[in-house]
Amino acid sequence: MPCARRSGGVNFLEARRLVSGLHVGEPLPFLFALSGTAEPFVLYLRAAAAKRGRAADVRLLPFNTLAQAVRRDADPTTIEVFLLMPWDFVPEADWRSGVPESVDEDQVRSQASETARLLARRSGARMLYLPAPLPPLFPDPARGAALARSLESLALGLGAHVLPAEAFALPAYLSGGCPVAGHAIGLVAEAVVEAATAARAEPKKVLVTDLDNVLWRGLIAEDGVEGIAFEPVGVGYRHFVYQSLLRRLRREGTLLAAVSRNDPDVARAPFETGRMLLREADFVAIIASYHAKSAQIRELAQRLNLGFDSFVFVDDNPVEVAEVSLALPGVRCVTFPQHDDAFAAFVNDLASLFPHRVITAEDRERTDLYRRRLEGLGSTDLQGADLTRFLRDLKMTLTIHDRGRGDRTRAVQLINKTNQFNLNGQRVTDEQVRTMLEAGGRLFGAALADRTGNHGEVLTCLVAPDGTIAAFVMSCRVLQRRVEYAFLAWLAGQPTPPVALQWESTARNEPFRQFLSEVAGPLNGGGPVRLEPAAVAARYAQDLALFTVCQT
Amino acid sequence: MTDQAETKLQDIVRAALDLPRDADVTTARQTGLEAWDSLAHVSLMLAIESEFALSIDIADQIHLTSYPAIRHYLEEQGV
Repeated sequence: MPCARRSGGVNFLEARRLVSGLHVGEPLPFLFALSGTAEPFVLYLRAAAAKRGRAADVRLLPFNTLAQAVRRDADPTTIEVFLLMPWDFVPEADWRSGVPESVDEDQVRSQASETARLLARRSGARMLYLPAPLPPLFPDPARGAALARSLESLALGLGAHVLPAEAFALPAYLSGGCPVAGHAIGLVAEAVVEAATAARAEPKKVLVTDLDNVLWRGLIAEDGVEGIAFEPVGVGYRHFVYQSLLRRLRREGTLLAAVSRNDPDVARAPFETGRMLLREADFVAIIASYHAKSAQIRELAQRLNLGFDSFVFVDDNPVEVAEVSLALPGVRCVTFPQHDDAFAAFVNDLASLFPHRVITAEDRERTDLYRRRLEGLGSTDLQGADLTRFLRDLKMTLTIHDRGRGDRTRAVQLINKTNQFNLNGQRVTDEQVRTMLEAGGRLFGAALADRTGNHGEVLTCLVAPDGTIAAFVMSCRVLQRRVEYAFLAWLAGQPTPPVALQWESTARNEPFRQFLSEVAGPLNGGGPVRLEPAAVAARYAQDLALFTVCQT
Repeated sequence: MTDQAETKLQDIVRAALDLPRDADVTTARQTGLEAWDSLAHVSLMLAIESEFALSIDIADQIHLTSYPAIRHYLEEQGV
């Protein structure tokens, strides 16, 4: 019995009008690969292209020759769009052959896998799958249903776009070999042209990952190897899963690299424990320095001789992500999620950037091949992006607390736990601080908030009675936000500004050395470093202007 | 069948069979038209399904080999 159906896509007469109305259009040549009768599609394909201002030049396969076509090598200059039917994987399921007397299920599944493997070799092909119902192949209907689901899974594994099953029409297929119903042919043609015109998403080749709070939970320079978490328990679980994804991607041929604002020996220490899933040998480079991450990635790209569009960068810090995005727009930047509920989507999205239909022996050995190209990376002076506009948009508020009064627990704690951005590495007791304050010293704490959230009290500065800064520390979580420059500009603008800093080099405080060199000029060993308050206040006034400053 | 539907059907037949715009198709038959081959018949059936939101059974498709037959069929479908 005939039945009315809902129409989809362009109808026949409208398709004619669209095609006749297109006088000039950019050519869109492509192969439409269908095992059935494809000729009726041509008008609708040309119409769908005309809607996009394109003149479709459609090539078709001869009837029932798709199986032969997939066994030939693909022409890399041709756009191929396959409209796959279940019987392209399992010929026994073709309605036009009737219901088979008997079917060997193992053989059928093996044949389907072989066809999927052949299709997977056509890395540039775009796939559509029409999950038409299967004829009863097995005595047990459940096995037929299971096979149908398996075939759809194979198609999805090829990256196929799955069309609505209602687009299939048995009458049209049996009578004329065209598997698509008249009411759906315009819809299917739209999907085909959409696939033909879609920018070809080239798989990414290099995953550049941050370390602290990404590859592991915690800050290696502050917490040490024993204080970070990367094992499948508690707060380390997410990082274990992330490492396991990277391990698989590396096995599939993705190049892994790490960039971190750390000293090299500190950044490498967790790898040397042998307790992490990932080993140093899994990375083509572990770049630990205090240069801008964009500059590190730029040099990595040059040394690997790969374009920026081959790179994905993962970091938990939105400022680092912005810096790389601004400096290297071709790099795909992905933010490591702060919260567990976004983690599953993050993992899947990240994996989807590195699709591999076929894994070769060369893929597995790629890391070793590239490691040899990268010896000595990360030693040059490198400049990053200008983040001023991004930082302004963060709408940062710096709240400066006078910790000379009231509770100073956090301020003292910060002095005693911070290693990297630390003026001299000196540890202090609360009693020593109290004595200094009673003698006329001053203690400041600074808390940072921005539109991404509240970062808490991140900076402490202890000024001795003689006006020398005795302690100046900041959490490295907020490096790159210019907090240290803004605070120093504010302090230099106070009625009794400090006149020197008690500098000492330590094994870990390279970030502070870089900061102080910029503020006060070249450093000669340890000892007091003079500060010109007026000059500092003027030079870093723009940094201070990035913040709304509150005082308590 | 309404005049509008009849006009649409004539447009479909002319377009599917690649006939001139002013061709009289009201007496067209597959046996008398070279352009109405098996492939054109598939396209014509799909075009009718597309325009009138129908699914035409195989048994009907085999018999819809003339304009009057198609017109009669559509009337039966309430077009």
